[in-house]
Amino acid sequence: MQEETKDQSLGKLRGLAPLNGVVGYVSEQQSDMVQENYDLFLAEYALCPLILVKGAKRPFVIADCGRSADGICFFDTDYAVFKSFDHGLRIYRQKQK
Amino acid sequence: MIIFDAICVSMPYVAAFAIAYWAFQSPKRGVYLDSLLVVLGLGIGTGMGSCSFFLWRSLHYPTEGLKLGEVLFFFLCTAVFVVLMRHKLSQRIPNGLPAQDGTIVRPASALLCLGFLVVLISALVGFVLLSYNRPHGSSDAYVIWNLHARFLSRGGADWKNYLSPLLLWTHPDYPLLVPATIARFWTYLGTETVLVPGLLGGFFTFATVALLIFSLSFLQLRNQGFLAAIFLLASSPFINLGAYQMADVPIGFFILSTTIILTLKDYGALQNNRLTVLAGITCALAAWTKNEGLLFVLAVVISRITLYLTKRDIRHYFRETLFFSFGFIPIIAVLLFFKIKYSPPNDLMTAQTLSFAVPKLLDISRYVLVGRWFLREITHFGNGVTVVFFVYLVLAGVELDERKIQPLISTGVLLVTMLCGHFFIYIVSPFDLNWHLSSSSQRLLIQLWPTLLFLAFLITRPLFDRESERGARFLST
Repeated sequence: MQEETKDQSLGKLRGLAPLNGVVGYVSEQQSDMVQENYDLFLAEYALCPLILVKGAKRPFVIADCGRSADGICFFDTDYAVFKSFDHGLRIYRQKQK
Repeated sequence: MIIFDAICVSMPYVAAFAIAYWAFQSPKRGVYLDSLLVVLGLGIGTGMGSCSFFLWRSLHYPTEGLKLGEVLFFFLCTAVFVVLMRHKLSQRIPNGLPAQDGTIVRPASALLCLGFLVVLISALVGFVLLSYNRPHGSSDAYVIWNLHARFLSRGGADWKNYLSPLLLWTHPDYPLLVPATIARFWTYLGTETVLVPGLLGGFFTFATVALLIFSLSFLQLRNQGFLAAIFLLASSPFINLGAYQMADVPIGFFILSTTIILTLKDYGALQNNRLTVLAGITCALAAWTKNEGLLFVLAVVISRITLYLTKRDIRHYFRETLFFSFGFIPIIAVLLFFKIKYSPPNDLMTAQTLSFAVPKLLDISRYVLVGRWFLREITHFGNGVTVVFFVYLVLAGVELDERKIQPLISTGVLLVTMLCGHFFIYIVSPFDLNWHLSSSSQRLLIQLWPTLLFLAFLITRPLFDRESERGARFLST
């Protein structure tokens, strides 16, 4: 049932105006590659036709930090929170230089 | 509007029934062939619908265009085959129809029927529980098949995003029968309900069982059909993969369909050339389901050449190939269009160069490892169901007559070619061999398991006295 829960929580991000094309994806499981991939696959399944790529080298990054104690798992000074959701979900936008 | 949508969504099935009816045309078909026709029609209709949906999606037409296009195209198909059915010159009286249906029900037969019902209900309950627990299917289902379906359904002009090199982990080169069927129903329903992939998995799982029962009831005895079905339903990996929405069960359905149709042809039961056209369609649909289907196409070619060589009648092979290609080419053209225009290269094939493959081919340890895996998979398959199966085969013994020799050669060579093909794909695999074997070898066996059961129960001596089930068998020659 984890797939269903993830599908529903991430599904809220689908169709949000600035998100299109390729988007970065960060989960709190960065130390465990298998689990990190699993999270990425579920996120892609929920958010297609967006293309999600691991890491933060895109103008927009989705941080999926539901299992972190404080709900934060993405730290990058080049990015600012664009929008927050329940279950530790955040969209970050790259700051203008 | 709902009625119009229902007509549109069912049009490929109407066309498929028309084609199957045309191929099975006979003055005395009987209940088993009629039932076989219905199951085949549903499978072929599903495949044809997926082709039309993919073509429509690749042309970027709006949904209304899909509806009208499908209605017009499949109406034309149906009309052509209805006209062909009326062509009296093409009719031929079958030379091997079953005797009149005068089944005498004996206690042993009734017991077997009851046993089948118990196993069927258990399998249905198991299937529903597994589907309920994992409505999106297993990881392969939502990483590959259902994900591709979502791209096709949601994507609009972006449906091709999944073909991006950034998403190679989703295997974008895989054929589209399953994803396009799911996306087609989602598009018509206007919602992405998980019921669609679940029901599709259920259809192919239990339709495969139905194919076994109806074909063996017609060609052999009803009891043989029930026995084969019991073995299939008792194979837990088969039910699991069906419930988890894997494409191995649909490809197994099309492999079995092709085998059954070619066996009917070899038995001389119906109009031969029409069955060959139908076999071409189901064979191409196997290739449109999974990449392993391309190996199946090669196996069909090898098995038919072998059959005609043993008959010293290669001229008839070319005649058969001609009719086969009438059914085969339209579907395979859609696959080629997808492969050439959209699909990235297959990950197994891109690595294959002579300098890469030859050292692997000369490495004996790889043969030992793959051989051990195959042996282990065969003996452990379905919690030992194969052991019971082989014991049954030894106890029952083989009963061959003239009619069964041709299907035995054709299907036997086909199964051996498929196994050899899979074996050598593992030998030259670019991946870690242990991982590759553990992640796929059981699924490959499941694709072939229904066909192996069909062949086995076609040639083994029936469990009960033939007199107890007179109606379902062929007139002895």
